[in-house]
Amino acid sequence: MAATPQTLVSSLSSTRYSAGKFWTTRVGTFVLIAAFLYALQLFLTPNLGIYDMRILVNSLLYATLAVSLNLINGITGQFSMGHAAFYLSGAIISGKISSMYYKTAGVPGWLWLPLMVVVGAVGAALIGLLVGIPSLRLRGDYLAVMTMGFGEIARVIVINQDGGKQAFGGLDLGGAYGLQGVPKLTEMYHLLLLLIVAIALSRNLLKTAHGLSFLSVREDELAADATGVHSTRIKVTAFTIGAAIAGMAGALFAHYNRSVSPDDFKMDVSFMLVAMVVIGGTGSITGAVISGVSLKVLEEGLRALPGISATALYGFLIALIVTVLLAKQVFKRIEGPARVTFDKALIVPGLIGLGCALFGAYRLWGADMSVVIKVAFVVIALALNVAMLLPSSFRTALPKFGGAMVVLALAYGVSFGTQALLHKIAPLAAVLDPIKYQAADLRWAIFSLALVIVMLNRPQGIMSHQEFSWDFIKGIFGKKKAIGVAP
Amino acid sequence: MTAVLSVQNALIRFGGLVAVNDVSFDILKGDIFGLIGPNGAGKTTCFNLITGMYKPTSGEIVFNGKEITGLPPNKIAALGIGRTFQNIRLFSSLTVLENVMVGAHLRHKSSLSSAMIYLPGAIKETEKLQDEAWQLLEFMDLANFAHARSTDLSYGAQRRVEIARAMATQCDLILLDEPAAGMNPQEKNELLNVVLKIRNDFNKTVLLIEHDMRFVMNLCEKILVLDHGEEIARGVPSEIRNNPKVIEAYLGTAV
Repeated sequence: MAATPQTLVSSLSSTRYSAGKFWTTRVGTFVLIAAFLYALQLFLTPNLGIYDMRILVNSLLYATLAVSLNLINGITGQFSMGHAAFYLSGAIISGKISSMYYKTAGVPGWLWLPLMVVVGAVGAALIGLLVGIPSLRLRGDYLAVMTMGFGEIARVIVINQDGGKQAFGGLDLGGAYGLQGVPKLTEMYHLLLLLIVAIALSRNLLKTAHGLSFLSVREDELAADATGVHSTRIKVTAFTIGAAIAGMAGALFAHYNRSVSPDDFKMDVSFMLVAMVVIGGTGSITGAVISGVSLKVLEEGLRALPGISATALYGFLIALIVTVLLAKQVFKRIEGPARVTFDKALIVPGLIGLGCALFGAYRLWGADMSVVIKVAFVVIALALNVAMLLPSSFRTALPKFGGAMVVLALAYGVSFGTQALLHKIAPLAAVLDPIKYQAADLRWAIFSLALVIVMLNRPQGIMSHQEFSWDFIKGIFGKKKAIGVAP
Repeated sequence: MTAVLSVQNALIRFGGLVAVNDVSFDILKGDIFGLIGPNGAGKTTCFNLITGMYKPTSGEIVFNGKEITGLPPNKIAALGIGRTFQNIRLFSSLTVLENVMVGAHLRHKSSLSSAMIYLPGAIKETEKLQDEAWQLLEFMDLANFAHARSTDLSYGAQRRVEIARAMATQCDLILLDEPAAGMNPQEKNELLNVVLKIRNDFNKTVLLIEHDMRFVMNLCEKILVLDHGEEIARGVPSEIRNNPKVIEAYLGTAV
């Protein structure tokens, strides 16, 4: 029990409703978004290469999917591991209809695409409903296992629907080869619009009393039921809405990619989405967007990194483990006044680390890489700097960051020794020497490592349950404001 | 006067164990009814039967003239039975104000879609529910903690939040499961006044389980004593206090 309970920044709106202000803000927001999307389409799209565009489209798609999964996984607390299946359903249903009827229907593309998005949403929502209904009997791990199985079943069904004798009803969804002949109608700004819509829907939900009933199911289902919340209905609703948004993303993907191959919807898509939601902070929409975009960009960015020999990698890992364990023991033993001085001293390596991040981003800017990745890295480096130099984190987080930098530097130094050691062991060297890893091949290892580090240091995720808002920003700078005080 | 809640021959069996055996009682409107008994007597099981957490093996439960036996908990809550839990079950990462607002879930009039599009109707309703919750917080002396995470509160304050949440459902009958557990004498006195106010000012009927005999005897007008799932005594506090069976159940027989 804390003597003075910490004040939270509630997601409920802090200002009272007034019609004039409400409608001005609303219309203003719509105009601004439309202008922004138009400007983007006019100036950015023609200047981006195919590869840059691909990365941007993928990261927007995954951010949207993460936001929709966050609704199920984060806000309602139902651990779903089969989100790729909803994404696939939206893509395959709308793609199939498009490939069959678009040419003959004579409907203009600007009308056909929204129609297909609705079709994808409805199709995926129905499937979400179908999965959601049995889910009302399952909790926690059981639900996770069931949805995981469902995700695979959906993919395997699509693979087997190749129009052959084995296919159900002779339906041709392209099989393992993939559904072809989908018209290309999606532009990048459509995806951004969908992301904005997905964010707005979940954000609005959290801002109203309805959102509280979703959160209450996450927090304690039994108590929610005793308070009159129809928890099963809430769960099924969450599944349906989450699936519908994923279905829309699928429909846009199908009409961007021109084909729908089951390989793009493997279980690792679901895993990655879960990782995004967890790293972002379960329940935080902001967190889902941030980790959605950055993990997807990171995945692509790894392709540009040089490979690393197995000896160097394992040498570094061994050195890292040894230094971390030693550093923990040493740091733990520094107490009292020495601790204060030590923490102050750690600010210096922290600042050096931040400088290195900025310098790295600067060097990267000149490298031969996709603009999107470069921008993302610069933004991450800047965000890291801002987050660490805030008054609230300067004395707490920066020394920790400095400590991590010291450990990393030490581990790098020690790794020369461990590499030499690995070379000395002849049978091991014979195995390790010929192996060279590409950074992109290690992406799952890197994601898992990121997940482990986040879980150890910040189990609530990057944003915990917080959302980006002006109140949140003010809160970071130490200005707290009472919210929702009754008149 | 007609009974608000009428439990008739309720029986529940978990495998070979009969947790509540043929228990019947009526609670009249405006009663403060105490359910006492030693540990494992079946008191909380009784609560769980009434609120629909368990389905009775046999017997029936009638609330306001309507049979509620075996209905799901949320339906029973909707009909007007609110409860608190023995081991506090708050929505821990929500603020105190938000916890109490969840209690108003049943009274949502705006649709989910209007909330997701963020229409004025949903916003105004949220503000209205927020104001109502705020009044309850002031009544329960919790307004200072309104924006604190509910787990950060003291034990006594958390119990009050639970009562406020149950009150927010605007139930007719409120079930309090050991509301005074973990409270110091001063907090218990305050709680006693709160329960009296709930009955007198809010016209609610109260059914409570409590181990603190002084608290029960001072507060309840009628008491039912359970032991090993069976009724051993019932009556007004003075009768219960001197009932040899009750003394035996609590203290054991002289050797």
